[in-house]
Amino acid sequence: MKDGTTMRERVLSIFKKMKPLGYYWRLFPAVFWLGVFLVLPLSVMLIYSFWTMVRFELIPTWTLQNYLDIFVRAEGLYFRLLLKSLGMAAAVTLGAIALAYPAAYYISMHGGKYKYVLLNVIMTPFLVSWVVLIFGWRLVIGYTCLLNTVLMGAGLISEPMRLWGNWITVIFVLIFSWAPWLVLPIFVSLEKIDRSLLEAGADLGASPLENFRKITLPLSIPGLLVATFFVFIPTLGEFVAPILAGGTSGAMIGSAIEATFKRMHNWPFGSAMSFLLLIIALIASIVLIRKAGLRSLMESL
Amino acid sequence: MKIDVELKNVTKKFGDVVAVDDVSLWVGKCEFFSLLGPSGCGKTTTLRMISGFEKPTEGEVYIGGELMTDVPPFKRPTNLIFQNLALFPHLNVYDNISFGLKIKKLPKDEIQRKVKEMLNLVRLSGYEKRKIKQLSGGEQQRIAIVRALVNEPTVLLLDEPLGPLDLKLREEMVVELKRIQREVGTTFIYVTHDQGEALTMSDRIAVMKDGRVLQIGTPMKIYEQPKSRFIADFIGRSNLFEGSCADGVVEVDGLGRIIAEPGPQTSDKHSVLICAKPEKISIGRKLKGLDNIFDGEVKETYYQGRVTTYRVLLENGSLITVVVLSSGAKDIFKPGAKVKVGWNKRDVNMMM
Ligand SMILES: Nc1ncnc2c1ncn2[C@@H]1O[C@H](COP(=O)(O)OP(=O)(O)OP(=O)(O)O)[C@@H](O)[C@H]1O
Ligand SMILES: [Mg+2]
Repeated sequence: MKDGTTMRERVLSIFKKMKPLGYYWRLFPAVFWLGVFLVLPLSVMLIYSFWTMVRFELIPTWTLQNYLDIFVRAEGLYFRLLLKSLGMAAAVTLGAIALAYPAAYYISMHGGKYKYVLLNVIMTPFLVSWVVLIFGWRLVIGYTCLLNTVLMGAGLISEPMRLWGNWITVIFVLIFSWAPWLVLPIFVSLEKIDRSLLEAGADLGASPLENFRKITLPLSIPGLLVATFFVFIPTLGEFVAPILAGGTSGAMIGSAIEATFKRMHNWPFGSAMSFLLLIIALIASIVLIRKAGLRSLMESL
Repeated sequence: MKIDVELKNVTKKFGDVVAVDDVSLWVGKCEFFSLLGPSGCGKTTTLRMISGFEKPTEGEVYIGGELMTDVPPFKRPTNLIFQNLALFPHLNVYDNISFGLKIKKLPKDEIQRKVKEMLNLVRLSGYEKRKIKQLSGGEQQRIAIVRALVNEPTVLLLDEPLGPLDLKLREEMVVELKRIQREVGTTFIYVTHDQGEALTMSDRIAVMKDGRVLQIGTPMKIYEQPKSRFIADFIGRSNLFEGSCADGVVEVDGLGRIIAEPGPQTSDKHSVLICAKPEKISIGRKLKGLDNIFDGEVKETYYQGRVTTYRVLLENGSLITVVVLSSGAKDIFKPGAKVKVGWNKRDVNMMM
């Protein structure tokens, strides 16, 4: 052991830290809730992921083939989709933060007594279903829609641009549907920064820009991690936006899972992909939670 | 003395609130200057105008002879120690102290040397890697002081830097601050509502009330010759007598005559206030050779070790406080004892 304790001492100290059994009963409601709504369906899924499907019939073969298939089936198509989804989720996260941060910063630093009004103005309209928003965007940047019509009318382009229906469109609509929600966690973390710290920075000679880089930004990192948590993980499994706005190049791993379940009726393979995704999401959450701290995560909910 | 900081008719209003009201003062180079006054009298606001965080509504601030009106805080040659310290929680001790030096882009080895020197100065060597949260209140205080001091500002502004500390630590820090000021030779403008601190450390003190400066002077002058009832009361306990004065003789209702040093105007009869500090009054069964002697009865006696404090009832019904050194006194008067109290005319101070 590097800190000089023996295995025996470590085990003993774990036992010492454990609370009496009655203590754990308090966790019962939470455990029950998780059990019924999460563990049950996921267990079924986990079991299926080791079976095979032959002619629409599930056969309990207990094989790892489904997991191997993710990497080899269709010349690695599914694996490449997974990597692409990771990349797209990262892009969406960065884009949404880049959009939300200035808004949150402005409201927090210069909102004065209208802070909360501004915050509501920014966020409330987005309470409408974001599917509606996607259609809205389609009306703006679609093939024969507003933007193209205007640009052609102005003589700037000779034929309409194909802006709709590719992977960039998917990233674009996801950024715009997430950004308003990120304003809140970032705003919360900015609000928590003691303003006298910025005065102290200025007093020590830091220009406003240096102040931002050395004080505001590092102190708002918990908010950024929370934002990442909220965007990255759901986006990783996204399948609605690719269907509505993605065309063929916009497909993500979520689209593949959906197709596998619904069109190919290959539940075991779909389950295996879902599970892999779940594990990736779980690892990402653990990393983010350890960095941001569970508390700051809950505080901005 | 060379003037380092000067305020000319400075007024600051927040809406209808007049926080600082027509303040004019100057602070000399390497002087330890204190702003002393009760809570809410505008001390912090005055400091914030010197450091540039507030713009005066009227009047001008000069530092080193230069008009500061359009100079933002980060370009002023001042450093402020904030009332709430404002240490950076995400940085360790080293990074907190070196913050200003890094902004100035000093070479790394010079920064290291200076930080080390500063930590030595406040006796916190070896604390470089500590997080701010891992420091005690007094340690944080000292880090806040050197974080400002390390930049070698022309003027160091200290906003009640000893406020949250316990008495013993305060006393230690008072000595330490004075030592630091002597060693580095910076101009200190020190804000406090604690008269003891101000008297101990300052070269000069400005007493403030309701946004105005009432009196500026050396600690001795402020203590012994307060210009108004407020200052007399605020700085050390004072025994005050109201009366009417003519030719250096003051007529006090029910007490008789008090002989005082002739003031500037002596011919006309006018009302005055006489202030006698408790330790300037003698007490005894018999008193001789004093300009003013009165009969009294001891009402309360407090033996406080080094000194003994008496509350003595005079014939006009006023209760005065007398403080004598315990070691010099022959005996201690018990409550009920008939005594005489008295003082020489030069030991009291007369106000209009
Ligand atoms: N930003 C502000 N807006 C409105 N009023 C203010 C503001 N800052 C200070 N004041 C008012 O100005 C007056 C002086 O405040 P200031 O903070 O200078 O007092 P202080 O002497 O430092 O008091 P303390 O010893 O309690 O720190 C107070 O009445 C305060 O309420
Ligand atoms: Mg104050």
